[in-house]
Amino acid sequence: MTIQVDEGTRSACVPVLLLQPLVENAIRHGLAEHLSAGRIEVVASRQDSRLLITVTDDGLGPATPAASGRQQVGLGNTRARLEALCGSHQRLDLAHAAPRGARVSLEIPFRTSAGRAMSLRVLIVDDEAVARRRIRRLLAADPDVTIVGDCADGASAVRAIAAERPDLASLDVQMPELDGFGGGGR
Amino acid sequence: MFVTAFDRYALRAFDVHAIDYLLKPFTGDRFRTALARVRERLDRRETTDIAGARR
Repeated sequence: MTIQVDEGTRSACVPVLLLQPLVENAIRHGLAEHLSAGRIEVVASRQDSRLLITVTDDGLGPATPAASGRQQVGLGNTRARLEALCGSHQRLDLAHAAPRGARVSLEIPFRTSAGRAMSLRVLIVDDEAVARRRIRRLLAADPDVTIVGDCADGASAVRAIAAERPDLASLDVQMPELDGFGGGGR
Repeated sequence: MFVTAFDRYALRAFDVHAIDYLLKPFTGDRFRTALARVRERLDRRETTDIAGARR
């Protein structure tokens, strides 16, 4: 078992129980059934505002039909959690490793805040440009906030909420097309 | 979270479980309080999620 963590990523926050199932998968499906001994490598690095983590084993790889089904179930749960936590700002891939084995690659926003693992993702919805700017300024002053967009009417807010899955929507009530109640409810 | 110039929607906001209701014009401090509330509620939710996943 090798763990290689870049110095710059030691302070990074990773959601609880995100990596453990990936390592368990590597042992159970990558190594245990086929080999008496094998290697698992966990590597973390930082690329700008992204945290990249890979879990690689030197087992038979993801193509084994029996293994891939179960691997996908485990990955499916992880994928769902990632999506709930980071919206579209994450990536999870399963691929062949060279010269053999499987590699799961994971990409999430790089965060170091002690309390929350992820920054608060906020959508601004207001039909007045002045109000949007004010809210944007207040949010931008908070280092643990990511503004995922701003919308001037309810209909585009509904679309943005579906696409970005923000943690928080700041909603005005009286707007053209659809008011904030329609937007929040949908 | 609702941010509006009208106070007459507050009850409806309560009905849809809004996390806060900011009346325009609001101060920067009031806005930061709202964000703190949001974080508090999200932290509680995440703790519950993890407890549920472990069972």
